[in-house]
Amino acid sequence: MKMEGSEKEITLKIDGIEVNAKEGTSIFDVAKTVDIKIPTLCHNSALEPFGACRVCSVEITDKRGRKKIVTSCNYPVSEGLIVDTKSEKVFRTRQLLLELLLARCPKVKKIQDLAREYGIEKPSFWVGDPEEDCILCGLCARVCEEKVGVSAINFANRGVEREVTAPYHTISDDCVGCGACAIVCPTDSKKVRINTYPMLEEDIKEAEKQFLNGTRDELLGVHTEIFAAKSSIDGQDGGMATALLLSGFEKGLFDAAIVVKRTVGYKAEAIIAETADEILNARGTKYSRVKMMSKVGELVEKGKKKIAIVGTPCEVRTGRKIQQQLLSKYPNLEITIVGLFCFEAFDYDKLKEETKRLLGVDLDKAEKTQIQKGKFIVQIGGKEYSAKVKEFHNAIQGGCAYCNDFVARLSDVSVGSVGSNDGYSTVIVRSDRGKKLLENVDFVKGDVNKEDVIKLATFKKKRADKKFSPIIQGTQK
Amino acid sequence: MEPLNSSSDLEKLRKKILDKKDSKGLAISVCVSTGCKALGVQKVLEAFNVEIKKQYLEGKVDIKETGCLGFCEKGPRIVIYPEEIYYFQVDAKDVPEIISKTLINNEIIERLLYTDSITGKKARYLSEVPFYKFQNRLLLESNSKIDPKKIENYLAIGGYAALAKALFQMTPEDVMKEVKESHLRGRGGGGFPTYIKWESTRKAPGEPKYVIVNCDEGDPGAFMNRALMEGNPHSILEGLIIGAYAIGSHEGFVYVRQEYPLAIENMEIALKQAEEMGLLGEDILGSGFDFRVKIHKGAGAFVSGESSALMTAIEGKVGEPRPKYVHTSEKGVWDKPSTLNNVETWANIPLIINNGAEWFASIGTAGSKGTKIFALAGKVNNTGLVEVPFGISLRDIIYKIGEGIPDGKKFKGVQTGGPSGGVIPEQHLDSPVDFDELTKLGSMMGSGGMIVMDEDTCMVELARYFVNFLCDESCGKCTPCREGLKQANIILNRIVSGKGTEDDIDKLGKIAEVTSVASLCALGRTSANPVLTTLRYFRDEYEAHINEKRCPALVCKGLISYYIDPEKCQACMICFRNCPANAIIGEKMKIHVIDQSKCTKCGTCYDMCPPKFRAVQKISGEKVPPPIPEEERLVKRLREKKRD
Repeated sequence: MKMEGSEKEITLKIDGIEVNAKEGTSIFDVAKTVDIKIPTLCHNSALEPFGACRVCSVEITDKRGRKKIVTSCNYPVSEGLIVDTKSEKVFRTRQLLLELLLARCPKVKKIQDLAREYGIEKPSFWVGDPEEDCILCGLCARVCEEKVGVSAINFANRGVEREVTAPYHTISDDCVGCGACAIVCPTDSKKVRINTYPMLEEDIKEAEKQFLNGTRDELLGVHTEIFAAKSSIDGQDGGMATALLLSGFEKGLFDAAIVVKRTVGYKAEAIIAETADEILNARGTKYSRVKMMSKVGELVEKGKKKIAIVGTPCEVRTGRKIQQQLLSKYPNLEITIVGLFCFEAFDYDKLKEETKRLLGVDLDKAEKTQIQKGKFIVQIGGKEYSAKVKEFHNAIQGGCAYCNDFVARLSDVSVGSVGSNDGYSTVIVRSDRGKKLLENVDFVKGDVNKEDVIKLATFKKKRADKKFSPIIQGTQK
Repeated sequence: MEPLNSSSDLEKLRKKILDKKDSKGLAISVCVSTGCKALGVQKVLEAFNVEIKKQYLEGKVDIKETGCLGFCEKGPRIVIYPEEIYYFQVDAKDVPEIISKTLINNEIIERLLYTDSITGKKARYLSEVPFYKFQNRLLLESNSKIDPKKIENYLAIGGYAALAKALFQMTPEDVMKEVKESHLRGRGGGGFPTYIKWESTRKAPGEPKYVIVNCDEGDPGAFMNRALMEGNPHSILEGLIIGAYAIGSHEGFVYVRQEYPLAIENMEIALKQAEEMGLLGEDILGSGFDFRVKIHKGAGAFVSGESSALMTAIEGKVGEPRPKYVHTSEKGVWDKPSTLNNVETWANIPLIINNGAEWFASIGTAGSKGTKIFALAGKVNNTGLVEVPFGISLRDIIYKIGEGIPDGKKFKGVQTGGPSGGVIPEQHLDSPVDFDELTKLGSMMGSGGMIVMDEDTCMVELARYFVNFLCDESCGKCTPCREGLKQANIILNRIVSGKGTEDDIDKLGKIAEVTSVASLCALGRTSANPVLTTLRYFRDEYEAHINEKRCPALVCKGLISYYIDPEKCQACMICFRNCPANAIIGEKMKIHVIDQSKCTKCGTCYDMCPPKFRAVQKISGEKVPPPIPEEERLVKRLREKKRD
């Protein structure tokens, strides 16, 4: 439940100090205004209070004079409320809660430190897995659901079996690698890095070092070359993504590629292409995100060791993380990644609905869709229907606003429309593998407008930074 | 049929139904609820249908499939009308005889009557059966009179008259006043005054307002709600509609656990029939009041019975509790004002409206009015559902209705309130059953679970059982409940296996303190009750386990040994042959000895040893005597013979 302070001003007492506050605000927030610090492990002011860790317990006296332990993060203040954040009962309650948490996570420094403040050095209770580092505060799951909007990670099982995990304990197709879960985690738990792929700044730098080479640009990423190109393939813009894939396939850089193909109507699905024809059949941009990462695992399980992925920045990012994890098990695994520029992607069902509403046409009948100059264009029966992309904001996939990567900076080679003229694709080469892909590809070079690319990349990064700011501010690290 | 459009339409229909009913008609009512079904009532029912055809009685005998009467252990149960003769434990092969003798010739079949386990007397009528004699079945009584799948049956016993009264003769305020003056308290566990809850939703800002039936019955062994919903769904629905009218709600939910398929089926039928008759839906009985109900099937998590968890589940999310610092009656389902009451609470409403608050308040104690249904179980002669007025003593329930403890054993304690409740010992048996009295004793009313324990029950093991149950059923959201229960479970397991340490009792106390004050929901806050009450009343048992490594009730495997008394063993070979661990050394004529290193303490030898010998014994807290020397193992009688 949301904590909504009303307009009504009330007076309460916290540790003997008289405080004015808006009725309905949490004790925790009101205490902060008078510099009374209450410890908490599961609270982040950017998220709805959850009341799971109970460490923020305080003692209140209600109108009838009854005393009660309540959690300050979600207890709404009212006129005349008396709060004691330091009573003996509060101390004992927090002390035992911390001792229980320390027995759960004996090696987590954050818990050790807090427990020490309450006089606990070592738990007197049974200690299970000494490496356990998740206190089940749910911050990761909540930020992913409430803010990012993808619910890639959540609780599973109940009672003493409760844990945080991706659905079915397997590679998450929904994780966009935004890193919110890792940012909010009070214990820096390993759990958010199993089957989900938070890519924080240091993770990105590490991946760049491992897979790419070239000069590093804050916005364009590591690259050696950026240019506009037009291939002989009738694909999207210059058809370069398809041309590069075909080239890599012919050169034996990979023997299977995960590409996105329209299946029924406009609905797209990730498919495994193992022939040139299958690659060609999948050409053309689909502005929606599909479940792709589980296919990587599937292919590797099947014994394929040379794989190509074509994907949006989030898919590239998570793909690299999966590659890192798989490499420890399969050292000869080779993954070629063709990245696509992406500002945001649509949810198929919502896009279909909005296309009908805004353009009056059935998206499933579209021969081609295109985003150009701020417009979403749908081509049906040779006719073009369009409206401003902005108007389609309801159809945007959860997570896009939390992604700060426009140019797929961890790909071997990125391709996109922005920055080049009609009929051309912008190409950014980022690695030797990317270079190799380009060798002997038949294309015509054109002028590239780097500023256009940088402008959108900046815009996307700023938007994500703005989204992350309250979450970072709210973390209690 | 045409929907009823007024109160008089309803009365006309009722009259028509009653006129059609032949008061002298032959009828057989057969309980087809879950308990009797499990005992094979389906075959009995089929036999009746076949036999009726065979004896050319088709159309002359009304076979009524009814709900539960509570005495499930004696099922399948049938009643023969018009004489109202009750037969218990009926088998399909009894059916031809029942028809030709009892139904046609009014002849009693003695063997099918209830036999009093103490006096041996046969009971022809229900009022003569001790199990029923001391009950006051205001709610359950109707279960034997109606087919829950037929709304006409419910109308025939006066059904929906309370609704008509409320809609046409009372304002919502009048209904509120009646409920207030009845002093009805919630039957789900906490005993919160129903009126206050209703009033809170009524006054809370926000639309729509919701009313909810909680049928997520989860206490081990309890089935009060199931029996009511299976046997008389319309009574619950009628109560709900009246409540909605008083509160100003137009949408309701019936939350039933998926494990109650028959309850769901009967409620679905009830909703459909009520809607078709104009008793539910738009413009109920032409009164202008609209109300709709949806059934929500729960996945059976114990914690989903907690009101905020249940509401979260209705929203389509995982059924986990949320803080209730703002009551759900003000911000419940989708943050809208929501009144949630237990099945039994709702079923009381029509009674209160029909008979008046004064009548209702005349039953019970000062603080607890009306009746309460309990699921009486455990070490007691009669088990089943019992409905008693508040104020009756625990002793009367156990000794008069339950007819005492089997096998002449001694009573030790009674657990009320399920896993959230506690154990009440002998010295408090005369306490009246009342919300506040049970809380004072450290237990609680709960939703009505009542488990009787005899001297063979180990109280530490009992606490371990409930804590273990709660470990599985806690949602795991908050630290004290999840981690506290986990640690308490580990400590209790340690104690029952003989590895308890001196500070374990203190640790249990510490955990109990924090779970009871700091947990998020009532499940966590009450989870320590079984530990706290057993510590309060049976602390010596904990101490015996820890300090003397002795289980006084001879239950805990880790603390007992099986031993064959050489003076009593007759070398009959029964235990020898049945021991699954081959731990018994013995041969014909030779006294048997248990090889303690092989014994798994399964107790088979103890159970198999013929009662006339009673040679196998359980010992605890003392060393097992050494096996008698090989040469002395000839059985006593032979030894003596030899000596002679």
